Amino acid sequence: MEKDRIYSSLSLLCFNLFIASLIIIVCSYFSILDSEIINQKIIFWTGIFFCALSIFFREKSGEGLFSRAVDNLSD
Amino acid sequence: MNINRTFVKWFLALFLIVIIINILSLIMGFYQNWMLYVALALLVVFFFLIFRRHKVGFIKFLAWTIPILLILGVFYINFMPFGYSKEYSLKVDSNGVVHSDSSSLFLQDSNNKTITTLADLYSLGQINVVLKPRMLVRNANATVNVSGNDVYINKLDFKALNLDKEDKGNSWSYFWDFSKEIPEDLDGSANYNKENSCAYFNASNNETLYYPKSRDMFEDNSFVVYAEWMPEDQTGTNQQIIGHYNWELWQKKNSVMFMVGRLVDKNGSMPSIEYKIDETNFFNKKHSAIAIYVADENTSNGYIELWVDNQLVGRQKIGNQTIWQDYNGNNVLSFGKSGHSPGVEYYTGCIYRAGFNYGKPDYIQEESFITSERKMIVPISGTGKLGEIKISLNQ
Repeated sequence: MEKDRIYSSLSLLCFNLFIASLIIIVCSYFSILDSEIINQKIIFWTGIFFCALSIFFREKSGEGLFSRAVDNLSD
Repeated sequence: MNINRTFVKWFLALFLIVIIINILSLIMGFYQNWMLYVALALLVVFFFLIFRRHKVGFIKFLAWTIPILLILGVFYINFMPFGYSKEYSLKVDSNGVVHSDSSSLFLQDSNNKTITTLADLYSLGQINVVLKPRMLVRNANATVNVSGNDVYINKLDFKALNLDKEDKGNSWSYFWDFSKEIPEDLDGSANYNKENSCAYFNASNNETLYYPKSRDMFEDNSFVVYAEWMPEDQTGTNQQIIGHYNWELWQKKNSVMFMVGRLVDKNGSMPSIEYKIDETNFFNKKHSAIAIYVADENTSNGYIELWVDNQLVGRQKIGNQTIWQDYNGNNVLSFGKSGHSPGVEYYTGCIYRAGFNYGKPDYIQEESFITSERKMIVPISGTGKLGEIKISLNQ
C-alpha cells in the first residue's frame, strides 16, 4: 500500500512536470516566452518523457486504466 | 508532525512582509538579489507547511512545488522583473592562457572558433569578445573595458579625432575645409561650389587640386588620412579622392579603396583595403573615410586600416615594411586624380573636408552601450598583449 502511494505521488510529479513543459512550450509558441533561451525541441521531448513516466508510475500504483481493467477481468 | 494553524498564519505574514520589502526596495533603489531568494525560500517553506498540515506526503509536496518553481524560474529568466546586474571578467595570463570567470564570456577568432590561448593578438588581426549571459538580458547598460598593452576595442575615438562640425581641424597636422572656399595653400582648377559648400571636381574639365612642393611630405611615419566626399560619376574607374602617389584613397565603380606602396623599394608590394559599395545607393550621397597607415620597423607590427562611414572595413598587416618614399618621384599631394597611369580617371563630385595627421590613431578602450540582443560581440584588436576584459551588465 505504501509503495502504491509513493508510485501515485511520483506519477503526479511526472504529470505536473509534463503540464509545466506544456505551459512553457505554449507560452514560447505564442512568443510570451522568448524562444531564444527555450529549446522547444528539448522541452517537447522532455514533456513526452515525463508523460510516459507518469503513465508508467500510475500503472505501477495500480490506479492506471490498464491495471484497473486487468483487476476487473480477474474479478 | 502537527502544524499549528496560527504558526502557518504568522509564517504567511512573514512571507508577505518580505514581499513588501522586496517591492519597496525596488521602488527605493536598494534592492539586492538575496532578498528575492529569501522570499522564494519562504514561499517553498510555506507550501511545505500547508502540505504537512493537510498530511500530504513529501513526494506529493515535491510533485507540486518542483513544477511550479520550474515555471516561475523560466518566467523569471525571461522577464527579469527585478533587473540584472553582473560583472564578467576575462584575463589572459603571461603564458597567453585565457581565464574567464564565467563560461558566458569567451574569445573567438574571425572563424568563430573559441580562443583558449592568445599569444599574439597582432597575428590574429581582429578577435571577438563574446558575452552570452544565461539570463535573457536585453536593453541593458553594458560597459566594456579592455586593458593591456596597445590593445583596444575596434573603434576609433572619433572625439579624439576632433571631427565634430565645429572643429576646424586645428588638432590635425593638415586640414582642408572646403565648406567655405578652396583653401589658400592648395592650387589647381577645381572650383568652390556654393550650393553644396564643397570643392567640386568636374572630370570632363580635368579638374584637380594639389598641395605644391609636397613631394617629400606626407609619406614618412604613421599617419591618418580623413576625407569627406560625395561621388557622382558611377562609371569612372579609379577616381582618386586624395593621395600622394605612394598612398591613395580611390573612389572606384563598385568600391572605395585605400592603398599604400610600393613598400620598401621599387619591387615592393602595394597592399590595399577595399570597401565594396552598394552601387545603387552609394553615389550622390555624402560619405567619410579614415585611412590609417601605421609604420613599425622595430617590432614589425605595422598595418593599414580603412574605415568608411565610421565603420571598420578592414586591416591589413604590413609587418616591418614601410612606404618607399622615393616612389612618388615628383608627384605631390593631390585631390581629384591619381598620378598613376594608365587606368585612372578624374574624379567627379564634391570633397567637403580632408585631413592628414601624423602619428597613430586613437582607439577606445572603454565603451558603454545598450544591448539589443542576448549575445554581445565586441571586436578587439591591437599590436600588444591583452591583459583583462571586464564587462558589466545592468538591467
